Amino acid sequence: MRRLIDIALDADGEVRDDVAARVLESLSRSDLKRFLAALRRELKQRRVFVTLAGSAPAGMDESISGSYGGRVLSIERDDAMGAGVRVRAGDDIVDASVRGYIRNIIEKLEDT
Amino acid sequence: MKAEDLVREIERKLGKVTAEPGVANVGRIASVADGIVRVEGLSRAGFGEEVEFEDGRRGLVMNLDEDFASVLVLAENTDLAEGSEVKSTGRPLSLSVSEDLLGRVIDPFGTPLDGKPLTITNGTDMALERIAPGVTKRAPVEVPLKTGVKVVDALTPIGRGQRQLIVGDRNTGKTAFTVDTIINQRAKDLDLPQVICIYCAIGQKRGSIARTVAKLQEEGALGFTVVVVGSASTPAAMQYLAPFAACAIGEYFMEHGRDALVVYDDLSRHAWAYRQISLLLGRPAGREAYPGDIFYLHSRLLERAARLSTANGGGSLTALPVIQTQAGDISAYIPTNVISITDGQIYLESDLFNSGVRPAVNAGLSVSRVGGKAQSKALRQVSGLLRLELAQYQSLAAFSQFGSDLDEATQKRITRGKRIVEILKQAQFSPMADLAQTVSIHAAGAGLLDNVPVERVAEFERRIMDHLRTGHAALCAKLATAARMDDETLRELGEAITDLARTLL
Repeated sequence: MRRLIDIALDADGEVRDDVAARVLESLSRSDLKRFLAALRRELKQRRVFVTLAGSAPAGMDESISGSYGGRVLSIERDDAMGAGVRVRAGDDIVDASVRGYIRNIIEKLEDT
Repeated sequence: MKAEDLVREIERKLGKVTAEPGVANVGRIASVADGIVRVEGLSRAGFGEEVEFEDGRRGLVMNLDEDFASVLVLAENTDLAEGSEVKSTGRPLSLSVSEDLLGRVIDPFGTPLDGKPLTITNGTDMALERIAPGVTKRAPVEVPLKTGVKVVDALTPIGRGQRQLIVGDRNTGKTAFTVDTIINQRAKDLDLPQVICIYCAIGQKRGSIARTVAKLQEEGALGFTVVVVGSASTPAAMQYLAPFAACAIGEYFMEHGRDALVVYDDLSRHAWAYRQISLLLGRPAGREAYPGDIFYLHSRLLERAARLSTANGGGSLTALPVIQTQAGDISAYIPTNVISITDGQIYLESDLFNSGVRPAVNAGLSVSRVGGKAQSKALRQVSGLLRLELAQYQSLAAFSQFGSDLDEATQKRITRGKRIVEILKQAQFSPMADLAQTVSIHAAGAGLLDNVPVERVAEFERRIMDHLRTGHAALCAKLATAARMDDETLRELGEAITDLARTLL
């Protein structure tokens, strides 16, 4: 399924028409379900989800997108984080929010 | 401590904590079934890596598929739900080991099971899965590990760093032998350094484990022993990991220059647990439904037993794996696997056990490939021909019922064989020192007891050491060196034995 996704999707997130038609015609119902799950996962992987408290400072979009190879950003606001930013790219999470720092310190204190 | 000092200590401790952005690789649970969790994501997780669930429980990555990772849940009861988060830790599964574990009963993760709190001070994190020491780090096996069991120390001696299999049907005394061996380590026979023992119970009933622990306690052997438990009532994951945890504890002591002994009781049940996990993971089933890597499972575990060279600390890890056979079939899949991995085997036989020969060691099928060099010189000298005498007796024993119809040589061989069998019998929990073993075996093997009635051989054995200590103190001191005996010493010993034997006719 991984290989089929690689063939179907190009670098810009576009699906070739002939491949799309082939997928819809030839895959069985169960394979289509697996393809759908893999496609969703892949699309999620290609986006960077940014959560921040307050409004985004100028230039933040370019800076974060540049760090992740120019991937598309989805920005959300969550004031409960206190301050800072939380970035999720695929399976990787970088939590540089005040809430994350506090949680981190609590865990470390519990360990010691 | 003054309150001000405590304030300073707390401030110092808190001051050490540095806050950094949290960086994690995560996944989400796609399904949970039979202790196996399928996780989507975890793209950076490695095989054998420890992962953490939302509720703080731990898991072990067992399979990495194209779309998901299969994780073994390392907890008895879980309320894991589909969609909850799983975080990779980037570290292999490990447990903290220090001297504090001695005398304790723990599970494979170091959680105490004996109802007492356990604090590990200055512990070292030991990974459960490690690469065995390489060839250049090893030294030959030549220091004895005395079991205190005559028949084993004489016929199939075990050296420190050896892997010796204990194989036999149920109720043939396999566990009893391993417990005897642990108990014997309290004596420090031949002035050898103390052996730290790790008893690993796999798939056993909790009642049986409790009995073993109580016996070790009663005999004063628990103080230098760690008991690692993956009992029958715990999930297969615990039973699968228990021997690896026991091995990691043994390696800690080996790497600190100490001698350690690990008993895996037993690897048949370990193979069953691994088969269960493999089938649940959807791995292809092979012979007897075991997975294809069942040999590697045990070879990588047992290969970690070693004697390190002096340059590497000189410590050792001896392994005594136990395998249970069905109807005496040692040619079954798992027994043959482990026989081929180990440096020898002690085969315990039901027929011998039921006929009162205990320990029920079958001398013909038992072998020690490397332990001979580790035997004390005196014991090696007197037990050299014992195996041959015993084998000849066993082949002639069937004819013994013909009595006087047999020729004189055959009758003589049967007479001696009966006394050898009698002298090799030994009660449970009564380990013998090297000196006493040497004297008893010499007495029977050299034919000095041929005229003593078989039923009085045990009495002879009970009295001989007192007889030597009281009447032949100089000889006793000479024998205590365990060096090879010269003709004069052999003659003196022969006379002393004959003196006592004469009183038992």
